[in-house]
Amino acid sequence: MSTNPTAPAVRLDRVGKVFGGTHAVRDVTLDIRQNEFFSILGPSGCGKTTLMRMITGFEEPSEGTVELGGVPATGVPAHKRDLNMLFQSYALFPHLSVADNVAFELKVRKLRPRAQIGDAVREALALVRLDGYGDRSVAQLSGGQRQRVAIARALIGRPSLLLLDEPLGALDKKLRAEMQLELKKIQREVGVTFVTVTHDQEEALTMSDRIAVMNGGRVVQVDTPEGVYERPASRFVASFIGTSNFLSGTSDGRVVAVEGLGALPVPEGGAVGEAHLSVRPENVGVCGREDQVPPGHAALRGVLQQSVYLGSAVRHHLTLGDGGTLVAETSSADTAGLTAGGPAWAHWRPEASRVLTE
Amino acid sequence: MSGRTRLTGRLPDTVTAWLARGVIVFLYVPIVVVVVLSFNDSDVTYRWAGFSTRWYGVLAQDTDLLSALRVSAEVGVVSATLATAGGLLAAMGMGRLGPRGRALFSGSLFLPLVIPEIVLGVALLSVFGTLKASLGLTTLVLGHLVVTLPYAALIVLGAHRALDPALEEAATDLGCGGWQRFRLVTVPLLKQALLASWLLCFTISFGNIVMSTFTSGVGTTTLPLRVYSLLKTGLTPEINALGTLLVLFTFVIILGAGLRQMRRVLVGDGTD
Repeated sequence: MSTNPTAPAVRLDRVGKVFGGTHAVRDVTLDIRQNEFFSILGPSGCGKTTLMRMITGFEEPSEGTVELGGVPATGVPAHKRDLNMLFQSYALFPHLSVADNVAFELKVRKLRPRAQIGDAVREALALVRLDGYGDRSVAQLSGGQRQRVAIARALIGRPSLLLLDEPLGALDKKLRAEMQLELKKIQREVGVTFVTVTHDQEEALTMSDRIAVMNGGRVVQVDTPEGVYERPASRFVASFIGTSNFLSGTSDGRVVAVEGLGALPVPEGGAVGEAHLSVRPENVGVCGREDQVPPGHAALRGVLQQSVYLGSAVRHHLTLGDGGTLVAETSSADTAGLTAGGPAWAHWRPEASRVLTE
Repeated sequence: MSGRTRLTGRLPDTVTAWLARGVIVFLYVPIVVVVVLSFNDSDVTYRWAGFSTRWYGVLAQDTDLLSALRVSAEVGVVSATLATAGGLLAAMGMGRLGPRGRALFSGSLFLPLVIPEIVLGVALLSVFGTLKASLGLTTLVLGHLVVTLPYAALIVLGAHRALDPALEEAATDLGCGGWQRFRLVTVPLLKQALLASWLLCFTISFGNIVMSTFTSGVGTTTLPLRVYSLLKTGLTPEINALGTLLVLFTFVIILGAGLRQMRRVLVGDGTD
């Protein structure tokens, strides 16, 4: 399959997939750029795996079209698509040695003359820092090493696109942090478009250039990691990525009036009508007296239920006048003058809050 | 482990250990007896009359018995091969069916296991009669296929189901078309199960008597049928000599290839 180098690596146009009468994926329109590290992020059952399988060709879309590198992929079988996949279980062939696993695609697709395969395998193993492991059997490797072999196997044929299915899900926490950086580094080195599918927001935030957030079969927001975190488009995104406080009320574009709590200033030019004010705990400050609230901040009076020491921060749980709860996270130094069960003021810069209508 | 603690609660360890030994002895005494009596210098199997190897000489000259052995070996090889191939095809095809189709298909594959073989034999004989097929090697092989195919399917389907489906998808992803995927990934991954299936089917076919009674024709008497008919004229230690050679042959095969694989596939013993 020849591809156009200026076209998007993947273009999804109103793609949908129906399984037994229900939509697993619905109306997804999305461009993934060349050489981008792109993540599809969502809770389990949101349709992200189905979306990925339609890109690989393991599933055909029921609606819409998939283009790969500017070429329509409809009807192109999976084994003829210029892309590879990193499977969650790694799917290394247990009957083949590490070297034969890595060389598999070169032999099957006859991409290199036989004499050059050995060099290509050595090069690919060096890329994932497994020099000298070629003769081992797959069973002798640790989980992290297996994943590296799977990466070498998937990249040896230099695909235009690598799809990674929950790439770090099977690794322990320490290895996961290491592999996050490593994957990013490999992606820059080989210059291949990476598309990962994950339910782990931290993973998506640290590795990606852009993130598509999915919920209920739809893509609800596509943005940079900073964009989805700082400017969530909906209540779902604000609560799925990181945590948020929500206060429901009526917005007039300048303030949100919350029943029982009063009017809270919000950034100018926001939505008007029924809305949720969303503010991240780390943007909320807490103080013991009203005169300590910095000028210009939105402020709410409440009762401090408890303060939990987290090491790098302290998390405060406040009960508000309407019975709701507000969570604030401050640096450890700011706890002076607060007592559990006593009055407390939560406050934040209006620019740190968002008005969401969904 | 839990089975062991449960049992020790009822029976002392020494009793269960002796029971186990008794079962092993019971299983292997007949084999030892066959081997010992094959060297019996007597015209009847049950009376010891001194050591001799003369029955091995008699066996070497017995064209009737040797041709029956050849028929059994041929039918065994052909039906074990066809049954195992059929089991592999069933396993591959199973993936294309929906859940209901799968239940129906596997049910119909395994049904012959619970139908008495004599019923299958009578039924098959009627079919051959209706088709005016003359009984011979072909009908024998078909009959043995009816008996062995469910076993082959059971083994190969089970092994295929235990594979990570991502392995076959990975083969596709790395550029394999259907045939390449089958040749380079599916068959190598199922190699042990295919071997176990072949050995089991061969053994079942080789020892089969009921189905052979209905499906063999003139000149295609199998070894078990021949031995059975000798019962009427009187068994001699020649049969023991043949039995000893077969036991020897089986041991060679099992030690050479199959014991570990067979146990792993049939019992699911994962120890390596």
